[in-house]
Amino acid sequence: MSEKGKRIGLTALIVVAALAIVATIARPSDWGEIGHYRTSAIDDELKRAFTNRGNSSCRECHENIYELKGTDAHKTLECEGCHGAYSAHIDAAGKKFADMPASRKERQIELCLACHKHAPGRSTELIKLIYYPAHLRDQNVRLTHTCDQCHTVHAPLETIKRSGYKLNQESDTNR
Amino acid sequence: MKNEARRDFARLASLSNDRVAKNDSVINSIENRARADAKNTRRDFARATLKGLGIGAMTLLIPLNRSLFAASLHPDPEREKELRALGVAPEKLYVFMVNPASCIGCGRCVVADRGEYQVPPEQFRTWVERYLVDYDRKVYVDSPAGGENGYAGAAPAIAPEKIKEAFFVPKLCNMCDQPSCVQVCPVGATFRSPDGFVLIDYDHCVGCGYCLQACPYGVRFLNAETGTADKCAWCYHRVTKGKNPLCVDVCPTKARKFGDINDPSSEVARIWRSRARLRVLKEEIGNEPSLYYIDASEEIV
Repeated sequence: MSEKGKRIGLTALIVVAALAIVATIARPSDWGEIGHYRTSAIDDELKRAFTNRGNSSCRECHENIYELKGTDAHKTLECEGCHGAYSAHIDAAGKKFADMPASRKERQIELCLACHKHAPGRSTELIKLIYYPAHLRDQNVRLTHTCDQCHTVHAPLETIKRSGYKLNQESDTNR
Repeated sequence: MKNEARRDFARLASLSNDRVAKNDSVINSIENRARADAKNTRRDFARATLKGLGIGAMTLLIPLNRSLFAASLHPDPEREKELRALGVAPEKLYVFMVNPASCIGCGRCVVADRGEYQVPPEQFRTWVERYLVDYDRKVYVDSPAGGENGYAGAAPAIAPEKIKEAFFVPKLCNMCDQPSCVQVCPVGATFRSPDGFVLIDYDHCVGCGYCLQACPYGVRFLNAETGTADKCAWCYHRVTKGKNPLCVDVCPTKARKFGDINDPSSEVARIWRSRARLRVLKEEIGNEPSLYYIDASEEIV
Protein backbone atom coordinates (compact mmCIF):
# COMPACT_ATOMS: atom_id res chain seq x y z
CA MET A 1 0.00 0.00 0.00
CA SER A 2 1.25 3.48 -0.84
CA GLU A 3 2.21 6.02 1.81
CA LYS A 4 -0.80 8.16 0.85
CA GLY A 5 -3.21 5.22 1.16
CA LYS A 6 -1.90 4.39 4.63
CA ARG A 7 -2.40 7.98 5.77
CA ILE A 8 -5.99 8.10 4.50
CA GLY A 9 -6.74 4.77 6.14
CA LEU A 10 -5.29 5.87 9.48
CA THR A 11 -7.23 9.16 9.42
CA ALA A 12 -10.49 7.32 8.67
CA LEU A 13 -9.80 4.91 11.54
CA ILE A 14 -9.18 7.77 13.98
CA VAL A 15 -12.36 9.56 12.89
CA VAL A 16 -14.48 6.42 13.30
CA ALA A 17 -12.96 5.68 16.70
CA ALA A 18 -13.54 9.26 17.85
CA LEU A 19 -17.17 9.13 16.72
CA ALA A 20 -17.67 5.80 18.49
CA ILE A 21 -16.25 7.24 21.73
CA VAL A 22 -18.41 10.37 21.50
CA ALA A 23 -21.52 8.27 20.77
CA THR A 24 -20.84 6.06 23.79
CA ILE A 25 -20.35 9.01 26.13
CA ALA A 26 -23.21 11.12 24.75
CA ARG A 27 -25.84 8.41 24.67
CA PRO A 28 -27.85 8.19 27.89
CA SER A 29 -27.29 4.93 29.79
CA ASP A 30 -30.95 3.92 29.61
CA TRP A 31 -31.34 4.68 25.92
CA GLY A 32 -33.30 2.22 23.85
CA GLU A 33 -34.52 -0.07 26.65
CA ILE A 34 -38.11 0.11 25.43
CA GLY A 35 -37.88 2.11 22.26
CA HIS A 36 -35.85 4.78 20.53
CA TYR A 37 -35.87 7.07 23.56
CA ARG A 38 -34.64 7.58 27.12
CA THR A 39 -36.65 5.38 29.50
CA SER A 40 -36.21 7.84 32.37
CA ALA A 41 -37.99 10.51 30.29
CA ILE A 42 -41.21 8.76 31.35
CA ASP A 43 -40.19 9.08 35.01
CA ASP A 44 -39.42 12.78 34.49
CA GLU A 45 -42.95 13.29 33.22
CA LEU A 46 -44.38 11.29 36.14
CA LYS A 47 -42.57 13.53 38.65
CA ARG A 48 -44.41 16.65 37.52
CA ALA A 49 -46.18 18.37 40.43
CA PHE A 50 -49.94 18.75 40.67
CA THR A 51 -51.18 22.34 40.85
CA ASN A 52 -54.86 21.56 41.36
CA ARG A 53 -56.09 19.23 44.05
CA GLY A 54 -59.79 19.21 43.23
CA ASN A 55 -62.94 20.09 45.17
CA SER A 56 -62.62 17.30 47.72
CA SER A 57 -59.37 18.87 48.89
CA CYS A 58 -61.04 22.30 49.30
CA ARG A 59 -63.85 20.65 51.22
CA GLU A 60 -61.53 19.61 54.02
CA CYS A 61 -61.46 23.21 55.26
CA HIS A 62 -64.35 24.92 53.46
CA GLU A 63 -67.13 22.44 54.13
CA ASN A 64 -69.94 25.07 54.34
CA ILE A 65 -69.16 26.59 50.95
CA TYR A 66 -68.78 23.15 49.40
CA GLU A 67 -72.25 22.21 50.60
CA LEU A 68 -73.80 25.50 49.52
CA LYS A 69 -72.28 25.13 46.05
CA GLY A 70 -73.67 21.61 45.77
CA THR A 71 -77.25 22.87 46.09
CA ASP A 72 -77.38 24.97 42.94
CA ALA A 73 -76.33 25.33 39.31
CA HIS A 74 -72.68 25.95 40.13
CA LYS A 75 -72.22 22.46 41.53
CA THR A 76 -70.33 21.34 38.40
CA LEU A 77 -67.68 24.02 38.83
CA GLU A 78 -64.20 23.46 40.21
CA CYS A 79 -63.31 25.74 43.12
CA GLU A 80 -59.87 26.24 41.64
CA GLY A 81 -61.38 27.42 38.35
CA CYS A 82 -62.29 30.77 39.92
CA HIS A 83 -60.04 30.92 42.99
CA GLY A 84 -56.74 29.75 41.52
CA ALA A 85 -54.80 26.55 42.03
CA TYR A 86 -54.12 24.90 45.38
CA SER A 87 -50.40 25.20 44.74
CA ALA A 88 -50.74 29.00 44.95
CA HIS A 89 -52.91 28.84 48.08
CA ILE A 90 -50.11 29.00 50.63
CA ASP A 91 -47.12 31.23 49.94
CA ALA A 92 -43.51 30.78 51.04
CA ALA A 93 -44.15 32.55 54.36
CA GLY A 94 -46.98 30.11 55.17
CA LYS A 95 -49.68 32.73 54.68
CA LYS A 96 -52.89 31.49 53.11
CA PHE A 97 -54.46 33.41 50.25
CA ALA A 98 -56.55 32.78 47.18
CA ASP A 99 -57.86 34.63 44.16
CA MET A 100 -61.09 36.28 45.35
CA PRO A 101 -62.71 37.60 42.19
CA ALA A 102 -65.80 38.83 44.04
CA SER A 103 -63.70 41.39 45.88
CA ARG A 104 -62.81 43.27 42.71
CA LYS A 105 -65.71 44.68 40.74
CA GLU A 106 -64.38 44.53 37.16
CA ARG A 107 -62.73 41.17 37.69
CA GLN A 108 -65.93 39.70 39.08
CA ILE A 109 -68.12 40.88 36.18
CA GLU A 110 -65.53 39.75 33.65
CA LEU A 111 -65.34 36.29 35.22
CA CYS A 112 -69.11 35.80 35.36
CA LEU A 113 -69.58 37.00 31.79
CA ALA A 114 -66.82 34.69 30.51
CA CYS A 115 -69.46 31.96 30.78
CA HIS A 116 -72.81 33.76 31.03
CA LYS A 117 -72.80 36.33 28.23
CA HIS A 118 -74.62 35.58 24.99
CA ALA A 119 -72.19 34.72 22.17
CA PRO A 120 -72.68 32.89 18.87
CA GLY A 121 -72.28 29.18 19.59
CA ARG A 122 -73.50 29.30 23.17
CA SER A 123 -76.69 27.44 23.84
CA THR A 124 -79.24 28.49 26.45
CA GLU A 125 -79.95 24.80 26.94
CA LEU A 126 -76.56 24.39 28.58
CA ILE A 127 -76.20 27.56 30.59
CA LYS A 128 -78.09 30.65 31.68
CA LEU A 129 -77.09 33.41 29.26
CA ILE A 130 -77.62 37.14 29.59
CA TYR A 131 -77.03 40.35 27.68
CA TYR A 132 -74.94 42.81 29.61
CA PRO A 133 -75.73 45.44 30.80
CA ALA A 134 -79.31 44.99 29.47
CA HIS A 135 -79.83 42.31 32.13
CA LEU A 136 -79.35 44.89 34.90
CA ARG A 137 -81.85 47.26 33.32
CA ASP A 138 -84.43 44.52 32.81
CA GLN A 139 -84.17 43.35 36.40
CA ASN A 140 -84.67 46.93 37.62
CA VAL A 141 -81.30 47.42 39.28
CA ARG A 142 -78.65 50.09 38.87
CA LEU A 143 -76.14 49.67 36.04
CA THR A 144 -73.35 49.91 38.59
CA HIS A 145 -74.47 46.71 40.30
CA THR A 146 -72.08 43.80 40.49
CA CYS A 147 -73.33 40.25 39.93
CA ASP A 148 -72.95 39.24 43.58
CA GLN A 149 -75.31 41.99 44.75
CA CYS A 150 -78.19 39.77 43.62
CA HIS A 151 -76.58 36.37 43.07
CA THR A 152 -74.75 34.39 45.72
CA VAL A 153 -71.70 33.49 43.67
CA HIS A 154 -71.55 29.90 44.97
CA ALA A 155 -75.30 29.27 44.57
CA PRO A 156 -76.53 31.81 42.01
CA LEU A 157 -80.28 31.69 42.63
CA GLU A 158 -80.22 31.01 46.36
CA THR A 159 -80.96 34.51 47.69
CA ILE A 160 -83.27 35.35 44.79
CA LYS A 161 -85.42 32.28 45.42
CA ARG A 162 -85.53 33.05 49.13
CA SER A 163 -86.55 36.68 48.55
CA GLY A 164 -89.49 35.59 46.39
CA TYR A 165 -88.48 38.10 43.71
CA LYS A 166 -90.11 37.34 40.37
CA LEU A 167 -87.41 37.24 37.71
CA ASN A 168 -87.91 38.86 34.34
CA GLN A 169 -87.12 35.66 32.41
CA GLU A 170 -88.17 37.06 29.02
CA SER A 171 -85.52 39.72 28.92
CA ASP A 172 -82.52 37.44 28.44
CA THR A 173 -83.90 35.29 25.66
CA ASN A 174 -85.82 37.65 23.34
CA ARG A 175 -83.42 40.12 21.92
CA MET B 1 -63.79 7.60 -0.57
CA LYS B 2 -67.41 8.56 -0.07
CA ASN B 3 -67.75 10.10 -3.54
CA GLU B 4 -66.23 7.00 -5.07
CA ALA B 5 -68.72 4.81 -3.28
CA ARG B 6 -71.54 7.04 -4.39
CA ARG B 7 -70.32 6.81 -8.00
CA ASP B 8 -70.07 3.04 -7.74
CA PHE B 9 -73.62 2.76 -6.49
CA ALA B 10 -74.84 5.12 -9.21
CA ARG B 11 -73.22 2.93 -11.83
CA LEU B 12 -74.64 -0.18 -10.19
CA ALA B 13 -78.10 1.32 -10.41
CA SER B 14 -77.68 2.34 -14.01
CA LEU B 15 -76.43 -1.11 -15.01
CA SER B 16 -79.48 -2.77 -13.55
CA ASN B 17 -81.65 -0.48 -15.59
CA ASP B 18 -81.05 -1.39 -19.22
CA ARG B 19 -82.73 1.65 -20.69
CA VAL B 20 -80.67 4.07 -18.63
CA ALA B 21 -77.50 2.12 -19.32
CA LYS B 22 -77.98 2.52 -23.05
CA ASN B 23 -78.12 6.28 -22.67
CA ASP B 24 -74.93 6.32 -20.65
CA SER B 25 -72.02 6.98 -22.93
CA VAL B 26 -69.46 5.54 -20.50
CA ILE B 27 -71.33 2.28 -20.19
CA ASN B 28 -71.77 2.22 -23.96
CA SER B 29 -68.07 2.46 -24.59
CA ILE B 30 -67.43 -0.39 -22.14
CA GLU B 31 -70.06 -2.43 -23.89
CA ASN B 32 -68.47 -1.78 -27.28
CA ARG B 33 -65.20 -3.04 -25.96
CA ALA B 34 -66.95 -6.13 -24.57
CA ARG B 35 -68.67 -6.78 -27.89
CA ALA B 36 -65.31 -6.71 -29.65
CA ASP B 37 -64.28 -9.67 -27.53
CA ALA B 38 -66.13 -12.49 -29.30
CA LYS B 39 -66.06 -14.88 -26.30
CA ASN B 40 -67.96 -12.59 -23.93
CA THR B 41 -71.59 -11.78 -24.31
CA ARG B 42 -72.94 -8.53 -22.95
CA ARG B 43 -74.79 -10.48 -20.28
CA ASP B 44 -71.57 -12.12 -19.03
CA PHE B 45 -69.87 -8.78 -18.88
CA ALA B 46 -72.67 -7.13 -16.92
CA ARG B 47 -72.75 -10.05 -14.48
CA ALA B 48 -69.00 -9.92 -13.90
CA THR B 49 -69.08 -6.15 -13.39
CA LEU B 50 -71.93 -6.39 -10.93
CA LYS B 51 -70.13 -9.08 -8.96
CA GLY B 52 -66.98 -6.99 -8.77
CA LEU B 53 -68.86 -3.91 -7.67
CA GLY B 54 -70.75 -5.91 -5.07
CA ILE B 55 -67.57 -7.24 -3.50
CA GLY B 56 -66.02 -3.77 -3.66
CA ALA B 57 -69.01 -2.25 -1.90
CA MET B 58 -68.77 -4.85 0.87
CA THR B 59 -65.30 -3.59 1.84
CA LEU B 60 -67.01 -0.34 2.87
CA LEU B 61 -68.64 -2.24 5.70
CA ILE B 62 -65.29 -2.97 7.38
CA PRO B 63 -65.14 -0.83 10.55
CA LEU B 64 -62.97 2.21 10.14
CA ASN B 65 -61.52 2.38 13.63
CA ARG B 66 -59.10 -0.46 13.20
CA SER B 67 -56.78 0.62 15.97
CA LEU B 68 -59.42 0.67 18.66
CA PHE B 69 -60.69 -2.77 17.78
CA ALA B 70 -57.19 -4.17 17.46
CA ALA B 71 -56.07 -2.83 20.81
CA SER B 72 -59.06 -3.99 22.81
CA LEU B 73 -59.64 -7.35 21.21
CA HIS B 74 -56.17 -8.53 20.22
CA PRO B 75 -53.59 -7.36 22.75
CA ASP B 76 -50.03 -7.37 21.54
CA PRO B 77 -47.98 -9.68 23.84
CA GLU B 78 -44.78 -7.71 23.16
CA ARG B 79 -46.44 -4.46 24.21
CA GLU B 80 -47.93 -6.13 27.26
CA LYS B 81 -44.50 -7.24 28.45
CA GLU B 82 -43.14 -3.70 28.11
CA LEU B 83 -46.05 -2.31 30.05
CA ARG B 84 -45.69 -4.79 32.90
CA ALA B 85 -42.01 -3.86 33.17
CA LEU B 86 -43.07 -0.24 33.72
CA GLY B 87 -45.72 -1.13 36.24
CA VAL B 88 -48.47 0.04 33.90
CA ALA B 89 -51.65 -1.97 33.55
CA PRO B 90 -51.71 -2.90 29.86
CA GLU B 91 -55.40 -3.66 29.84
CA LYS B 92 -56.04 0.07 30.14
CA LEU B 93 -56.66 1.86 26.88
CA TYR B 94 -57.13 5.56 27.43
CA VAL B 95 -59.18 7.65 25.07
CA PHE B 96 -60.22 11.27 25.15
CA MET B 97 -63.62 12.34 23.93
CA VAL B 98 -64.80 15.86 23.23
CA ASN B 99 -68.43 16.80 22.82
CA PRO B 100 -68.53 20.04 20.80
CA ALA B 101 -72.25 20.37 21.46
CA SER B 102 -71.61 20.78 25.21
CA CYS B 103 -68.79 23.31 24.99
CA ILE B 104 -69.76 26.88 25.86
CA GLY B 105 -66.35 28.39 25.15
CA CYS B 106 -65.70 29.61 28.69
CA GLY B 107 -61.97 28.90 28.47
CA ARG B 108 -61.61 27.35 31.96
CA CYS B 109 -59.64 24.47 30.41
CA VAL B 110 -57.13 26.82 28.82
CA VAL B 111 -56.63 28.73 32.08
CA ALA B 112 -56.18 25.56 34.15
CA ASP B 113 -53.79 24.08 31.62
CA ARG B 114 -51.65 27.21 31.58
CA GLY B 115 -51.30 26.94 35.36
CA GLU B 116 -50.59 23.21 35.43
CA TYR B 117 -47.80 23.32 32.87
CA GLN B 118 -46.61 26.94 33.24
CA VAL B 119 -47.33 27.54 29.57
CA PRO B 120 -45.81 30.87 28.42
CA PRO B 121 -48.25 33.63 27.48
CA GLU B 122 -49.78 33.46 23.98
CA GLN B 123 -48.83 29.80 23.66
CA PHE B 124 -51.28 26.95 24.14
CA ARG B 125 -51.20 23.26 24.90
CA THR B 126 -54.96 23.24 24.57
CA TRP B 127 -57.26 25.88 23.16
CA VAL B 128 -60.86 26.39 22.10
CA GLU B 129 -61.86 27.27 18.55
CA ARG B 130 -65.20 28.57 17.40
CA TYR B 131 -66.61 27.47 14.08
CA LEU B 132 -69.07 29.81 12.40
CA VAL B 133 -70.96 28.52 9.39
CA ASP B 134 -72.87 30.99 7.20
CA TYR B 135 -75.84 30.33 4.92
CA ASP B 136 -73.52 29.55 1.99
CA ARG B 137 -71.93 26.77 4.09
CA LYS B 138 -68.75 28.82 4.28
CA VAL B 139 -66.79 28.15 7.47
CA TYR B 140 -65.07 30.79 9.58
CA VAL B 141 -62.92 29.77 12.51
CA ASP B 142 -61.95 32.17 15.28
CA SER B 143 -60.11 31.68 18.53
CA PRO B 144 -59.46 35.00 20.30
CA ALA B 145 -56.57 34.42 22.75
CA GLY B 146 -57.15 30.69 22.35
CA GLY B 147 -60.56 31.14 23.96
CA GLU B 148 -58.83 31.73 27.28
CA ASN B 149 -60.96 34.72 28.26
CA GLY B 150 -64.17 33.20 27.00
CA TYR B 151 -65.94 34.40 23.91
CA ALA B 152 -67.95 37.09 25.66
CA GLY B 153 -65.87 40.07 24.62
CA ALA B 154 -64.93 38.86 21.16
CA ALA B 155 -66.84 39.97 18.09
CA PRO B 156 -67.50 37.05 15.72
CA ALA B 157 -65.70 36.97 12.36
CA ILE B 158 -68.98 37.50 10.50
CA ALA B 159 -72.12 39.48 11.32
CA PRO B 160 -74.43 37.61 13.74
CA GLU B 161 -77.37 37.62 11.30
CA LYS B 162 -75.24 35.76 8.73
CA ILE B 163 -74.42 32.91 11.12
CA LYS B 164 -76.37 29.75 10.43
CA GLU B 165 -74.53 27.50 12.84
CA ALA B 166 -71.94 28.14 15.50
CA PHE B 167 -70.15 25.76 17.80
CA PHE B 168 -67.04 25.50 19.90
CA VAL B 169 -64.33 22.94 19.28
CA PRO B 170 -61.75 22.33 22.02
CA LYS B 171 -58.40 21.28 20.57
CA LEU B 172 -55.60 19.31 22.21
CA CYS B 173 -53.09 16.57 21.44
CA ASN B 174 -54.67 13.75 19.42
CA MET B 175 -52.34 11.07 20.93
CA CYS B 176 -52.00 9.25 17.63
CA ASP B 177 -51.33 5.54 17.44
CA GLN B 178 -49.15 6.34 14.44
CA PRO B 179 -47.69 9.72 15.46
CA SER B 180 -45.87 11.56 12.68
CA CYS B 181 -44.10 13.79 15.23
CA VAL B 182 -42.36 10.73 16.69
CA GLN B 183 -41.42 9.49 13.26
CA VAL B 184 -39.60 12.67 12.27
CA CYS B 185 -37.79 13.50 15.53
CA PRO B 186 -34.08 13.29 14.65
CA VAL B 187 -32.87 12.75 18.23
CA GLY B 188 -35.57 10.51 19.70
CA ALA B 189 -36.78 13.23 22.06
CA THR B 190 -40.42 12.56 21.41
CA PHE B 191 -41.82 9.09 21.71
CA ARG B 192 -44.89 7.02 22.26
CA SER B 193 -44.81 5.53 25.74
CA PRO B 194 -45.79 1.87 26.22
CA ASP B 195 -49.16 2.93 27.60
CA GLY B 196 -49.94 4.91 24.46
CA PHE B 197 -49.07 8.50 25.41
CA VAL B 198 -46.99 10.59 23.02
CA LEU B 199 -44.56 12.41 25.32
CA ILE B 200 -41.58 14.74 25.01
CA ASP B 201 -38.18 14.28 26.60
CA TYR B 202 -37.50 17.92 27.44
CA ASP B 203 -33.87 17.24 28.40
CA HIS B 204 -33.15 15.59 25.08
CA CYS B 205 -35.04 17.87 22.68
CA VAL B 206 -32.78 20.13 20.58
CA GLY B 207 -35.64 22.40 19.52
CA CYS B 208 -35.27 21.88 15.78
CA GLY B 209 -39.00 22.21 15.24
CA TYR B 210 -39.36 19.38 12.78
CA CYS B 211 -42.19 17.84 14.82
CA LEU B 212 -44.09 21.14 14.72
CA GLN B 213 -44.29 20.79 10.96
CA ALA B 214 -45.05 17.08 11.02
CA CYS B 215 -48.04 17.29 13.37
CA PRO B 216 -51.15 17.36 11.19
CA TYR B 217 -53.18 18.92 14.01
CA GLY B 218 -50.89 21.83 14.85
CA VAL B 219 -50.82 21.06 18.56
CA ARG B 220 -47.07 21.44 18.94
CA PHE B 221 -45.19 24.67 19.58
CA LEU B 222 -41.68 25.78 20.50
CA ASN B 223 -41.90 26.77 24.15
CA ALA B 224 -40.69 30.37 24.34
CA GLU B 225 -39.18 29.85 27.80
CA THR B 226 -37.49 26.46 27.53
CA GLY B 227 -36.73 26.54 23.80
CA THR B 228 -37.86 22.95 23.35
CA ALA B 229 -40.84 21.53 21.53
CA ASP B 230 -43.91 21.30 23.74
CA LYS B 231 -47.44 19.99 23.54
CA CYS B 232 -50.36 18.63 25.53
CA ALA B 233 -49.60 15.34 27.32
CA TRP B 234 -53.16 14.55 28.47
CA CYS B 235 -51.81 15.27 31.98
CA TYR B 236 -49.77 12.07 32.03
CA HIS B 237 -48.65 12.77 35.62
CA ARG B 238 -52.27 12.96 36.78
CA VAL B 239 -53.66 10.12 34.69
CA THR B 240 -51.02 7.66 35.92
CA LYS B 241 -52.10 8.48 39.49
CA GLY B 242 -55.72 7.70 38.76
CA LYS B 243 -56.94 11.27 38.16
CA ASN B 244 -58.49 12.84 35.10
CA PRO B 245 -56.58 15.32 32.98
CA LEU B 246 -57.06 18.74 34.57
CA CYS B 247 -59.06 20.19 31.68
CA VAL B 248 -61.58 17.34 32.08
CA ASP B 249 -61.99 18.12 35.77
CA VAL B 250 -62.46 21.87 35.37
CA CYS B 251 -64.89 21.70 32.44
CA PRO B 252 -68.23 22.97 33.84
CA THR B 253 -70.37 21.34 31.13
CA LYS B 254 -68.45 18.04 30.89
CA ALA B 255 -67.68 18.66 27.23
CA ARG B 256 -64.37 16.88 27.77
CA LYS B 257 -64.39 13.22 28.75
CA PHE B 258 -61.52 10.92 29.51
CA GLY B 259 -61.23 7.32 30.54
CA ASP B 260 -60.26 3.73 29.96
CA ILE B 261 -62.31 2.29 27.16
CA ASN B 262 -61.61 -1.27 28.30
CA ASP B 263 -63.40 -0.58 31.57
CA PRO B 264 -67.08 -1.18 30.72
CA SER B 265 -68.29 1.03 33.56
CA SER B 266 -66.38 4.11 32.38
CA GLU B 267 -68.22 6.95 30.69
CA VAL B 268 -66.12 6.73 27.54
CA ALA B 269 -66.94 3.02 27.19
CA ARG B 270 -70.61 3.84 27.60
CA ILE B 271 -70.39 6.47 24.86
CA TRP B 272 -68.40 4.06 22.69
CA ARG B 273 -71.23 1.52 22.95
CA SER B 274 -73.94 4.15 22.47
CA ARG B 275 -75.31 5.39 19.19
CA ALA B 276 -73.21 8.54 19.34
CA ARG B 277 -71.05 8.90 16.29
CA LEU B 278 -67.37 9.16 17.18
CA ARG B 279 -65.12 10.83 14.68
CA VAL B 280 -61.43 11.65 14.57
CA LEU B 281 -59.80 14.62 12.88
CA LYS B 282 -58.28 14.12 9.43
CA GLU B 283 -58.92 10.40 9.43
CA GLU B 284 -57.61 10.03 5.88
CA ILE B 285 -54.07 10.89 7.01
CA GLY B 286 -53.87 7.60 8.91
CA ASN B 287 -52.41 8.89 12.19
CA GLU B 288 -55.11 7.01 14.08
CA PRO B 289 -55.80 9.51 16.88
CA SER B 290 -57.17 8.51 20.28
CA LEU B 291 -59.04 11.80 20.54
CA TYR B 292 -62.64 11.43 19.44
CA TYR B 293 -65.18 14.13 18.69
CA ILE B 294 -68.70 13.09 19.60
CA ASP B 295 -71.24 13.64 16.82
CA ALA B 296 -68.87 16.07 15.17
CA SER B 297 -70.13 17.83 12.08
CA GLU B 298 -68.36 17.69 8.74
CA GLU B 299 -66.74 21.10 9.26
CA ILE B 300 -64.78 19.89 12.30
CA VAL B 301 -63.25 16.74 10.81
